Amino acid sequence: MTEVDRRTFMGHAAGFGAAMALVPTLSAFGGFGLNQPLRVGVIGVGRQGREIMGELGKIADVNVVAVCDEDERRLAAGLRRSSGAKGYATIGELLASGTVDAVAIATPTHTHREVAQECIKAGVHVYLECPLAHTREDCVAIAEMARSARGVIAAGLQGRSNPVYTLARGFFLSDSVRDLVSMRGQEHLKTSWVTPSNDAARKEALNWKLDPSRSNGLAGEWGTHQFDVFHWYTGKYPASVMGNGGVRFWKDGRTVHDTVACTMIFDDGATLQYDATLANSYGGKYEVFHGTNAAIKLGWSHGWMFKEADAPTQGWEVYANRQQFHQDEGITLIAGATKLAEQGKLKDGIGLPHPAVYYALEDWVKAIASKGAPACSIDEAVRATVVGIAANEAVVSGKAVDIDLGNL
Amino acid sequence: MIAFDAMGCRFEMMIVNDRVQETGRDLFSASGFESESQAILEEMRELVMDWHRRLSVFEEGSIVSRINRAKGGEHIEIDQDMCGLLKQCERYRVMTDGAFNIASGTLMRALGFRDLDRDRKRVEAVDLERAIVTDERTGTVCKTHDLIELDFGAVAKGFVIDLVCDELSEFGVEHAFVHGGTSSVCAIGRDGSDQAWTMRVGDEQDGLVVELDGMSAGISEVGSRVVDDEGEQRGHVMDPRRKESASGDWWQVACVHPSAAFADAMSTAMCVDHGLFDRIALGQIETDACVLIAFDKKNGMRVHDPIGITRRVESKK
Repeated sequence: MTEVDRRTFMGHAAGFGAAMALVPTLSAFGGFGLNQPLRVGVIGVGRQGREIMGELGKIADVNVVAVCDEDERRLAAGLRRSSGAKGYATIGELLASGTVDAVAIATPTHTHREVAQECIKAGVHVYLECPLAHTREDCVAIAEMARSARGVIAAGLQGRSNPVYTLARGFFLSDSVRDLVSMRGQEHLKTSWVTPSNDAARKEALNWKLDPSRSNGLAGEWGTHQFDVFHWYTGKYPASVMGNGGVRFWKDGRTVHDTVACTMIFDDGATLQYDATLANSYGGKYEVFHGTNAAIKLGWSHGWMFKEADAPTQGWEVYANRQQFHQDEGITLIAGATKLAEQGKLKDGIGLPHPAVYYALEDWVKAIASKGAPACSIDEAVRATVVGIAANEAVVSGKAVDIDLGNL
Repeated sequence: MIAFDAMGCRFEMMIVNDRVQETGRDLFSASGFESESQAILEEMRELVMDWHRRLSVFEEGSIVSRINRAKGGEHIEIDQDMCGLLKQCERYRVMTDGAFNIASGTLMRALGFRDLDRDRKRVEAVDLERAIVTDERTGTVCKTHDLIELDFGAVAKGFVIDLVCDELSEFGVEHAFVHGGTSSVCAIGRDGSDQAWTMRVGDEQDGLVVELDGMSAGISEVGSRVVDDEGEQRGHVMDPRRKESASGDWWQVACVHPSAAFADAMSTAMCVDHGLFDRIALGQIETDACVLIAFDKKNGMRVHDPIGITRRVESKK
C-alpha cells in the first residue's frame, strides 16, 4: 500500500518513448515455457465463463479439459464451446477427477468464497473473477486461503495486465500528466441486467445481480474493476465515499439501482467521480486522470493522452498517431506503436486485438509457467472489492461511508 | 425491439405481443414482464455479437483469423460449435458442387477485397475444393495450403439467425422478426396485427411480396459491393470454381427456406451457379420445400413457389 514514488520511477523511465518499441507484438501466440500443457477447468460457464473458455483457447499450451456448472443449460453450452472437455455438475466432482492443474472461476460473486476455498484446498492454480466477493468477511477469508495456496492465485482485475494500461501507467508515472488534479470513471451500457429464463427458480438463481442480498450493485460489480485502475496508478486508496442512485429507467420492480454516482475522497483531498448506468450507453466504459500537463483517458481496448498546450513536447510525440475528439486531440497510446508504424499498421482508432480478459488469463498462465506472481494478487483484489462494497453501501444509503482498509 | 451493428450490417430484432410464457413467481414484480422481453432480446444480441467476434476476418483475435493466419498443415483447435458450422458449410459446398465455398476468402484477398495487396496469380494453384480438413474426433481444422483463407460472409448471418430463432423458441416466444442487414431474415409467427410477416424483393419495376410464416430468407446481390480491378468492376460474390467474381445476368437472388443458413448459402450459390435454381426446383437437391426468386437483367423475374407464399407487386412502370 505504499505510494508509488513517481520521481524514482522517472529515473528508470528515462527513455520511455524508445521502450515502446520493445513491447512485443500482441498477435504472438507463443508458449510460456510450461513443462507440459496446462489442463484448465472452467467453473461457471455463463456468458463470462464461455468468454474465458474462448480466450484460454487462444493461449499456447493451454487445454480447457473440463467445464463445471450446476445449471444444465449452461453446462451444455459450455461443452459446445470446448474441444472434448468433460462436463461436471459440481466442483467436487471436477476436482476429484484429478484432470485439472488449474481452474478459472466465473461463478456469481456471492459464491466465490465457497468455490475458491474448495479449489485452493485442492492445490490447483486459480484464476478468480472479480469482484472478489460480496462481503468484506468473504474477501478476508479468500485472502487468508490464498496465502497458504500451493498454486498461483490470480484475481481478475483486468486493468493490471492490460497492455494499453501498462503502457499508459508508464506515462503517468513518468510525469507526463504532472500534478494529478482529479479522476473520473464511468460505465454506461443500456441493458436490462436481467437474465431471462422460463423457469422461476432458475431465473432467481441467474439474476443474483438484481438481488440486493447477493449483489454489490453497479458500483461494486462494475466499479470495482475501475477503482482498482485508480489504485494501481496512484498507489492510493480512498478514505471515504459518498453516493446516490436510483431506478431511473428499468421500472420493473427491481430495487438494485440502475443508475448510480459516487464521489471518492482521498486523504490528500483528491477526488474520484464515478457513475454507472444501465439506461444509457454514451461514452461506454473509461477512466480519466486529469493532470496539469495532460489527461490520460483509458477505454480498456484503447488509451489516449490529451496534452495541455503549455506542456513540453517529447521526442516520440512527433511519430505518434493522433485522434480528434471534437476540440481535443488525443495521442493514441498503443503497445508496440513503433513496430506497428514500421509495418504501416498504425492507424486511427487502433486498439488491442483481444479483449481485456485475454491478457489477464495470459498473465496468469505466464505466472504459472514462471512460478512467479500474477499481475493482480488476491490482496489487491481484496482492497478494490472492499472499496466497491463501500461505494455500493454509500449509493444504497445515500450517506458518506468511511473506507477502512486497515489490515487488508 | 433491439438494434445493433454486427457482421458488417445492422441487426434488428423484435418480439411482438410479448407472448412469452409465464414463469410463475417473477423475481421482481408483475411488471417484470416488460424487461423480460427486452432481456431475451439482449441475450440474442449477445449471441450474435459472440459469433461476430468469432467469425470476423477483421478481428485479429477471432477464431477465423487464427485459422487464416495458420500455415498449411497446421492443426488449429476448434470447439464443437465451430466444428458444427464447418460441417454445415461443407454440406452446402458438396450440395452446390462448390458454388458455395467458405474458402472464397482466399479469392477475396487475391482480388483486392481485403486490401490493396491483390495478387490473383498466387492463388491459381490453390485447390479450393479441398481447402480445409476438419477432424471432429480431435477437434481440429487444418488448411491444405498456406494461402487459403476462410470467409463466412455468405452464411454467417443466416447461421446466427437460426441460432437466435431456436433460442427465441426455447424462451417460448411465438411471434418475432429478426433480420441482419435486410439480407438475412427470419419470421416467427405473425406480426402485431396478426398478419403474416412479409418481405419484398426485387425493385420498384419488378417485385414480389413474400409472406414469411416460420420461414427464413436469404437475399444476395452480385453488385452490392464492388472493387475496381484495372478499370473493371468486380462484385464481392466469388465464384470459387472459376476463381473469379461471379458474373451473369442475375442481379438479385432470394431463397426462402425454414433455415436461414440454408437460405443465405443458397442465395449466394445461385448467384454463382444459376443452374442451381432448377436443380433445387426439380428436387435434385434434397431439402425442405423452399421458394426461389431470381431477377434477371434481361429476362425479368423467375419464381419457384411450391407453397404459394408470394404475390406480385404492381409495376410502377
